[in-house]
Amino acid sequence: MAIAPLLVVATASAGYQYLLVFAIALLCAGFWERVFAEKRGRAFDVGVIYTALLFTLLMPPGVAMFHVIFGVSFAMVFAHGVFGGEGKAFLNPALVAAAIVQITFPTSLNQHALWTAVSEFTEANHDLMDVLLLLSIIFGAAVLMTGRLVSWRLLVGHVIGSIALAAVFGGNLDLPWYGHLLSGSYIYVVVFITSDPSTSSATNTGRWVQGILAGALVVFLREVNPSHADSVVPALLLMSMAAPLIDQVVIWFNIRRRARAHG
Amino acid sequence: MQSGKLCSNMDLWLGNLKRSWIKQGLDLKIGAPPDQVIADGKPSSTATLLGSDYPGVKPRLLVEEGAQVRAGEPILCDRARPRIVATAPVSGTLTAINRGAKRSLISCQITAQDGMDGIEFEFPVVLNRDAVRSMMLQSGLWTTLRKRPFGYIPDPEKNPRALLVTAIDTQPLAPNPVVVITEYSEEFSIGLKALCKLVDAPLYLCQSAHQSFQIDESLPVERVTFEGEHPAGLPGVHIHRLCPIGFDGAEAWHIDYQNVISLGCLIKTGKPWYQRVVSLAGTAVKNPRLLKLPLGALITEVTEGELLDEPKRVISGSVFSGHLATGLQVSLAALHYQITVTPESDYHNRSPLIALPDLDTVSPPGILAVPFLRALLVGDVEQARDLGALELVEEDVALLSYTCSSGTDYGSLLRRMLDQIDREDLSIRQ
Repeated sequence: MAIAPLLVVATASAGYQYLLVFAIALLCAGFWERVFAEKRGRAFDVGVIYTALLFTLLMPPGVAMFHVIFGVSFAMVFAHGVFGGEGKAFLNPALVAAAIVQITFPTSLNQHALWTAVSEFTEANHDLMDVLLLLSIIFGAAVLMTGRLVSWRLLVGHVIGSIALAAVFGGNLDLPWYGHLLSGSYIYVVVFITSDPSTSSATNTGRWVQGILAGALVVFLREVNPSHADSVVPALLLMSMAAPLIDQVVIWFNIRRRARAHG
Repeated sequence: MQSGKLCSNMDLWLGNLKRSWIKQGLDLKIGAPPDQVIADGKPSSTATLLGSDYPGVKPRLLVEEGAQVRAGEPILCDRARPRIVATAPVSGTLTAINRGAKRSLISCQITAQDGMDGIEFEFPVVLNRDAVRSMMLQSGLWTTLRKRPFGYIPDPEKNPRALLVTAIDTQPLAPNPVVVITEYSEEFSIGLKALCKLVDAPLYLCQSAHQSFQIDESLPVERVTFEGEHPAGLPGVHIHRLCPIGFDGAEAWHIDYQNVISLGCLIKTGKPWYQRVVSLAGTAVKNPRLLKLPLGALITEVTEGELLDEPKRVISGSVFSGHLATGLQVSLAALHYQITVTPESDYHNRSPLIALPDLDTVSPPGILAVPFLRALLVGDVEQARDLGALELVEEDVALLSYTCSSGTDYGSLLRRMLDQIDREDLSIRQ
């Protein structure tokens, strides 16, 4: 429900090429989910539809089908299936698949129909589509937060982290202060992918820390390496991996506080 | 969402998962709150003592099956501390003793008989520490005290760091303690006065911030108010605030308001109060209200003719931490002041623990919900202890079980872990 408006806008904006990408991604993800469900004797998880959907929206419409199959297969096996599937894997398969495609076939992501690249953000002609896209993501965030499926702390952390670090760099990239937040696929990935409770920090303090650090990391990578393709995906993937470590530090402090208070 | 299916990412994100309503407070679809006026309930043909009413006690039965007992007569005692006894709440015949695995006691049933007087306990001349303790022990009222850590019945030779009187109940559909205390204000005052003598430690009277009642202001009692939705009324929360206990072996004791009234009754009349004010409420209840019921009443008898004809579950206690009134546990537990009737439902699925932000909202104060639940799930005793298991008992994690998508009963996991910590003496941190 949260993602429905975004789908409508994305389809209208990027055309029906997406449907093909989606179909291939879904078949591929469904195949691997089926394999693992049978091998492990667990139920087939319909979450693969969502995985395929999220992945599709990260791809440019003209992406080679081979790239899609390769990325989704790798992610569904090594980032999802081997850990036991939803709720047990600590990385989002859609994000891993996008990262694999981005790393293995860097040229495949050069032009993107949905997300305005960082370098083009200021010059780009922001049309009605961009505004609708943004509104639909904000709508999604609002739905997910009122449904209390994502932590508002994480989302606010991202805003603080990215704006704070953008202020430190003082606009190397000639972006307005909110430019980092709105360019590229950043808020889309944050709202719909990395704030998934099973791939983000599991403590309130950890959510703040993860959000702020992730926001800062995205801006940092963009600023120090402007020639490279957008760093949103690898940066947020890295912070997803760091979530258990952040939680461990929070746990350590909690135990230490209790031990001191109670002797 | 179909039952039995894994809770999937899609369900979560599309909002199909049954969500807890904690933030919305009592917007619970479990029926209207009870009418807070105390009415007389039906007499019960049978009184039942449940083994689970005596946590931390290894019971030895003092009476054989078929024997005549008088109300107030000891039925069982603790093997290790024989001064701790449970007494019959009614005069009659001990008709059944039900045992479970390893000969553990599940329940004893006493069939009531008319025309037998209960035991009258002697009134001590001077109410000092030892007199109050021995009176509570003899009358069986000692078994209504609880200690933290572990939630067991405390050792009569020990002294706690604080004694808390719980006069607030935030569980959904619970009776309003102020109504009950106002009805029995004299007994409550007498009981409170005796409790002041029970321990050489501060006595806290924990109550709601919104409604109050009169007590004798000269008593050395500190009144503390708590505000908010459940779990604000749980002793675990109060202890965390007033007298945190942990790894150093210190204890906090607590007792609830109805047993303070019973103690007052015992001092005033020589007999404990063999009744309790219990709320009968829930979706399928025709006339939700407060009832004066005998201790250990059979729930089937109480609810006869009170319920609508629809699929339902009848629970002794609250919807969070009560137990289903089925099998050998069809009677009201000693410290349960509610009979909750909820619709038949099976929406709790087996699925992985998902770190929903709501878990932190309903988590007991100072506890990191998800890391703690993970420690419970994998059975990591030391990690769970370090993350605060000793501050908690089953009822404190009931809201977490309710909110968590996994459908795990964390209460029983916690109980197993606490018993292990106690047995293996792991409570002191190395």
